[in-house]
Amino acid sequence: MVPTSKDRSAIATPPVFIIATVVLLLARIAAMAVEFAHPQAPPKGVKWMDLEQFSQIQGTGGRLVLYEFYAEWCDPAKRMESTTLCNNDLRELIEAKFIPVRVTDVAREKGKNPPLITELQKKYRVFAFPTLVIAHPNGDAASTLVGSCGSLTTYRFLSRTLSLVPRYTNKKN
Amino acid sequence: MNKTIMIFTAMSACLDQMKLIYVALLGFVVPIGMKIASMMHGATDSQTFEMLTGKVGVAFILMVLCLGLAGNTSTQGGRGGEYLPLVFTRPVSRSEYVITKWVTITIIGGMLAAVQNIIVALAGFHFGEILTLQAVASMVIERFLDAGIISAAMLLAMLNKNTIFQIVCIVAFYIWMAGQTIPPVSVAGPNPTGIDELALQSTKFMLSTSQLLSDLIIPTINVYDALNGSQWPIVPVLSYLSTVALYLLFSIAVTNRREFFYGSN
Repeated sequence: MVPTSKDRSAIATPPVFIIATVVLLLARIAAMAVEFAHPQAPPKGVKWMDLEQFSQIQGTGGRLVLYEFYAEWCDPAKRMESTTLCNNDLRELIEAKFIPVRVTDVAREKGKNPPLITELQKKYRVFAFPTLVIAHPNGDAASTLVGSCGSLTTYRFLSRTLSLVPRYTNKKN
Repeated sequence: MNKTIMIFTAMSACLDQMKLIYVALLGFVVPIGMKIASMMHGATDSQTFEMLTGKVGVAFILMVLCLGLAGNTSTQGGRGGEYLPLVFTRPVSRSEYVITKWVTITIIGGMLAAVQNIIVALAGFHFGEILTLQAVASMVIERFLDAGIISAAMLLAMLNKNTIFQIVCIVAFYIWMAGQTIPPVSVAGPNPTGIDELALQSTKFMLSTSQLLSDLIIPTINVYDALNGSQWPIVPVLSYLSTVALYLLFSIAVTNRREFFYGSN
């Protein structure tokens, strides 16, 4: 007996599954091409202040200082900036509980860093970018996170440090 | 979906004491112990902890718990593959077999990893680490998504009897895992020269290769960022779905080509 298309074969692959896979693959390629041709503007991230702006602040109001050691040539730092640090939860936590300060390394561009940057890198033992350092208002390091981590990891790092040093958290909260 | 295959797969995963001990130790005792120790001493979570509570943890659980559940020839005896010839000599659709296996293994792996993540979050909460409910929900969803793609990849690797393919899979797995051992970083300081430059460049090459491979073979969706971002991650979602669909389609294709002899053991 000649099998018909209506017969249920044990080794038949459902056509709908094949079609769905092909459609998904094509959509993926198209989406990647569109993203490559028209890169989206980076979403709103953390408002970092530079060292000069930070030096003009009179006291931290009891808040912890969050240093981001950053370099323009560093891809992982840029990736963290455009993904992890654009997470709304994380951004709100940083802006509410910390004084965010970006320390941009220029050793590769200018041959050496300004003395203040070198001093901070030595003090907090920064050997890679990006590195997040949470410091007490008196300058002592409270906690360090090295590398471009995900938003959950970074959120846990910040909230844990806040819980470990309650006397330094924002007195208003 | 075949209920019998589902029940047998779940039973095979749960009845091996050695597997359960391994999963209990690596999946629960070690990461939870690390979490409590780091919280008690005020230390940052280690990368090993991040690995064991993330994708790598899911892969470890699935590797041990579900090894042989897909029904590869070398591990048929006593590991869930023993009824494979029986299934294949009955009018059960092979695509149904593959999909049922995938769903069951995903549920087992995802559930274990999700429970582990919740315990870790509760341990952190006890010591004052605050995570929003949305963050915990995101972790749970991510573990199920991880289990979904890793189990699909494992099904394909186990069901295909081609030795070269299996070796490629193992090598790809180790390269992928090497990239998970440290978060992406760039070494500080001026441009290195000589042997230092060579060492740095080779490390950078290894990490970027691993990252590329990871994006290609195990793309992930960051659920927490998706829920808290201003942009919907279309490319990661499509990458994830198309990769899972492709793995399952290939798994069905290789299963369709398999033959069993009544006289074989």
